Amino acid sequence: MPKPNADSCHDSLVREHAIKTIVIIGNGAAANSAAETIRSYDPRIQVIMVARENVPEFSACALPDYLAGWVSRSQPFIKKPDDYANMGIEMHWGQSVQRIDPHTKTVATESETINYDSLIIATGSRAAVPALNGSGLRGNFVIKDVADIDAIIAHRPKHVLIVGSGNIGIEVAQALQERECKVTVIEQRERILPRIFDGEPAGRIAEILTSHGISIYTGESVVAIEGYQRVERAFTDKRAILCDTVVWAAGVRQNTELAESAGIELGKLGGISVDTGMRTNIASIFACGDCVESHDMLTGKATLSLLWTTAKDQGRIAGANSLGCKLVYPGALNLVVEDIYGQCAVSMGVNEGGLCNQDLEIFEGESEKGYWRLLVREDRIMGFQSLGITTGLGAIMALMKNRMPLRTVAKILSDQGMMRRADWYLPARPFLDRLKK
Amino acid sequence: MRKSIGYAGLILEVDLSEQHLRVRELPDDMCRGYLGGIGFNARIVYDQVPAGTDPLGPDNVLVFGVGAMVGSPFPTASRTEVSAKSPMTGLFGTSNSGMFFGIQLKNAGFDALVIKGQSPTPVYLLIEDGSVNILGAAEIWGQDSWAALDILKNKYPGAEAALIGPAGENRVRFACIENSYYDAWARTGLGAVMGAKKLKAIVVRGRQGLSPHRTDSFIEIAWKARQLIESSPFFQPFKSYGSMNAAMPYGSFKALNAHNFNRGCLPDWKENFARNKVEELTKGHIACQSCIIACAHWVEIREGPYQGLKMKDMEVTPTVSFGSGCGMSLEACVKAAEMGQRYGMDMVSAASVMAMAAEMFTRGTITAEELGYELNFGDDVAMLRLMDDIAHRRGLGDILAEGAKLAGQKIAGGEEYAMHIKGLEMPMIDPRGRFSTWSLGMLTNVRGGDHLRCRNPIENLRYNENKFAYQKERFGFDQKMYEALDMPDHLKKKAIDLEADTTDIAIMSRWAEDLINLFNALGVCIRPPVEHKIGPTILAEAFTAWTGMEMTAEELMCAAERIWNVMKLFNLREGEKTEDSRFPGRFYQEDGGAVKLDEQQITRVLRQYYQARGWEPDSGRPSPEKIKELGLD
Amino acid sequence: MNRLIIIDSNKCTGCGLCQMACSIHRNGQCEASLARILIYRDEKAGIFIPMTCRQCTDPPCAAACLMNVISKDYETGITIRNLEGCISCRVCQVACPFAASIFNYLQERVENCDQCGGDPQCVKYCPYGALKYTDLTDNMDLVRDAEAKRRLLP
Repeated sequence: MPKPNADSCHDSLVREHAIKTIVIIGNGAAANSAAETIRSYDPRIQVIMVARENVPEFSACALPDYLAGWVSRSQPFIKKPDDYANMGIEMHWGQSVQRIDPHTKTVATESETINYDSLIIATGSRAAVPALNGSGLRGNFVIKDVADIDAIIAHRPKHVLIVGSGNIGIEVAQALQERECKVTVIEQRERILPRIFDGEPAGRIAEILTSHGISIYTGESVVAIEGYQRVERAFTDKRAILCDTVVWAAGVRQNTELAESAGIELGKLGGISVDTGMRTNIASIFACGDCVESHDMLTGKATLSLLWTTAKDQGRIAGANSLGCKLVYPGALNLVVEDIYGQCAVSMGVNEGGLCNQDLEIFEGESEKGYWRLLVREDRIMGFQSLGITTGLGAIMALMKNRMPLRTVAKILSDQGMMRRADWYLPARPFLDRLKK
Repeated sequence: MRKSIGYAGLILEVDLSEQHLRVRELPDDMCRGYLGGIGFNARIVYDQVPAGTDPLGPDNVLVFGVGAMVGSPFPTASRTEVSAKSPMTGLFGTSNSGMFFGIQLKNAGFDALVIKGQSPTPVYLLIEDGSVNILGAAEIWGQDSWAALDILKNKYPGAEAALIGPAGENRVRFACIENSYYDAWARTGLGAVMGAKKLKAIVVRGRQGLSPHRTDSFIEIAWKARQLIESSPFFQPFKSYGSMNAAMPYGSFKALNAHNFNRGCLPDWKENFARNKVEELTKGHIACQSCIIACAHWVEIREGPYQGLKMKDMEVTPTVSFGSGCGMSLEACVKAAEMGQRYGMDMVSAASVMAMAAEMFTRGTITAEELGYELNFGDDVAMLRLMDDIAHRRGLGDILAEGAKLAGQKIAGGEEYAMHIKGLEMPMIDPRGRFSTWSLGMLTNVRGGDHLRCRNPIENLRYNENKFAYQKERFGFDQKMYEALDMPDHLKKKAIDLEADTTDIAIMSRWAEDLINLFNALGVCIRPPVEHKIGPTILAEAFTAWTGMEMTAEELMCAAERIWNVMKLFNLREGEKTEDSRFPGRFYQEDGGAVKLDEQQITRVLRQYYQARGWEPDSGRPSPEKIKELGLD
Repeated sequence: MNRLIIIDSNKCTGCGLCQMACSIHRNGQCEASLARILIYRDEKAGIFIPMTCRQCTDPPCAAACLMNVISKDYETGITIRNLEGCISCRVCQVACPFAASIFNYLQERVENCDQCGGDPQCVKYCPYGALKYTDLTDNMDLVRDAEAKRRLLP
């Protein structure tokens, strides 16, 4: 199998204004994915990573598992500190970039100035904690890195209020429930997981969570937190809740200040604006990961995707293009898999909220294993959500990604010869058969 | 999840009257003494069904016993035995089927399933990874078995089901229990027992895997067994044509049932049913769990009145029974097989009863007025119509649904056309054309007129000679075949006379019965390539590696013999007599294109068989010594 | 070396020996759900289609993996997993179009076919030659042959 290299990705890779040094700001999924891509394309080029943190790459997705005690503290770490050197990546630990100068092609940290030929900004995002009364008290936490989890564990929480019910909120709720905490989730919107699931599946998930003892209040927002030196209770617009810990999981802010100060344009939603090659408006500067504003693969609308897979994908594109390749980012496609007390909850593509469109057709089904719903627009699958089902989803994902018209699918399924050739549709048949009717 | 070794380790008892469930541990001595499958069934039915029980009453017990080696990659290990007191014979009713039901039941945690009592309303049983539910079957009761299966499989994806069709619900005496879409526990009317219990289906789904006791050696033995089977000369033909292989030689011996055993073979049989015809209709093979042969074919009918029919078919038994027995065309045979599956009827018995009706019609015993239509041999449409009538017990079909024996008694002058032994309709082979171990096996079979419990493992279909006065059949193979046969030497010397080139039918019958019993206990298939090459020696090795219970070849055969004796004792308790082991009168009075049978000679061979079994030659009862030897006292 | 397991579903009889072989050799347990190959069964159409990992050049499972444990071995062309790091979040299962990421409940990990290190047992056990283990170049010929045969059949 041929190993990918720079030449195979684009013939017109221009080697005369040779790119010798690539600087990557950040050490998250996107930054690491970019670095690895560059390395796999070109073993000689100098790659410098500048990271604020002092820890190697970790997967934020495993943080709740660590919090619950299902995995050890070392499990979330994907790389070991010396992996960077082994890969030939120069890692500048614990330094934050103060300034980017596009004219001289340099970045300046507190202690040094580094030249770059291409720059990749992957500064990520930070948890949004509103400036409320008491949000600075001891006992307020966010879930961003391993140290946050360490801090929560050291705090020995008993009664926890989780603000926000996105995937992080829900996972942390289950994790803390596992630690025998009394957990309350507050969601501002009228249902949990509002950006990921529609009403029906979200309701079912909420039911499972409540049946396991997690209290959920939707349509409420936290207005104040009180306590002497540490969190003792919280007030929503409807009630007071006794708690010793508050976990803020209600959205994030893009870390765009550095880019903004260098004159890089931001999008309407507040992320760094990039084109389909992950390029910013300034030449030789690329951006990827949580800090950028990309477009949705299915709807084409601008979106702030905060998913691990999206960051990895964008990092790959940015990394390759920083070398002079011309890869095109197809857009962000949501894929969220949640374990809800042993039941697998899956959402892919867009949900109803993201599709506010009248032509939307919704197919729902219930098997003895679980529930599923498919959103179809213009004969193409736009979204899929399920609870309790693990088989046949890959094919749906592929059909959605390929934007395959359903009439083509129906044609293939009605022809045995074609079906054998396109046999990968078959596990998804229970869903696809329903669409025909 | 529990990790099981060899056996799942539990027996599930369901009482439908009380809606009560009980789970018993599988005792070790049960495993050693009765192995599994038919062995468990024999013991449980013998112990739990009192003498004189009404087969269709609440006291009859229906047992599903999974073969001991099912769930392993041992080639062809897939089979499950179902037993109860038969409504057809009033004796031990039992039937064997493969596919995936057995492995699912075992993976769901049970080696055997015992069903007692009678539900007041239609129910079905759902068994899933150790959880058992009795559920209302209003939705599927009354549906044909395919429609019911569609509903169940949609509801429980990945599950397997044993279920009955309308015939079972209507207590047609020869109703069968369907095993998924195309297979069945067909013979001896077990579907009627299930229907009488108002149990529509048993749905099983399991995920608890089984582990061999010694993985490496088991893998090695299973692979050796596979190579042995593949080395059999019967392997390739069976792979290509399945059981249809036997039809050609038996046709040329005039030993195939034609028009209700009026003749030994139809003249056009070769053109219409030869193997090339099979090739024309079939495409692709279908296998049971772990099978390397895949003898079943996928049949698609592309033209004619039955165009568009697609199913797994082309088994020799239904094809000959309908095709030659009733004179139907090959395409109509497939249609009849489809109806048999949907209605859930034993096709051998159904075809026999239909042929009987056709003969009665031709001879004027019954009239077109009684029937509602004319019924001649070879009239596909009328035959299929009659089949429909039988399944729904309409008109004369109501009487015929009682089976050949009872219908013969109810219809004046019908008795002589009822082709049954001990109440079970005879299958497609005609002993007048060829008297062999197979034919004697029909007389000695505990379940009545049936050919599947005794077959010479080295039957030679090239020769057919009648000069041995029913005592011998031609051996016809070379020294190498003789040596390769896995049989204790002293017995082999007695059974096969190499110099005279003969096989002793009585001794070989006993051996073959025990061998097949062993296969049915372990869940291995009895297809000729397997029966030919797999003997007790390798089975003992495999059994030991799989379950961790040290058993020798002799001990396995002894267990098989014990099982046979228990079934025989059950039959004797139910009043079976030596006179019952008799072919229908026609075989002694008409030659059927070959030769008439000689009753005295056959009785003599039967006595030899009883002696070979260690039974009393006059009464055909296991002697007290035998009973003691087998530990049944 | 690049070899692949190629599947000709026309020949599959649905016996399940490939699954038995896989699970007994890799887990010491006979259990279809543990096998890294699955058979899609449509009994009413007489169709059996085995499916296993296609060893994609650019595997979607690797792209989706939350722990970056899936990668390509460019020597053998196999998609390999560093199962130490797997937290069995099952995202790869959802991402794989071929349903080839198998959740192993014994290990609590998600696995894919690794061709048994060059001697795939499923291929060895397949009695009808529906599974073949061949070089990539021969592979294309087989695919073409099978395709040609299919077109000839009505």
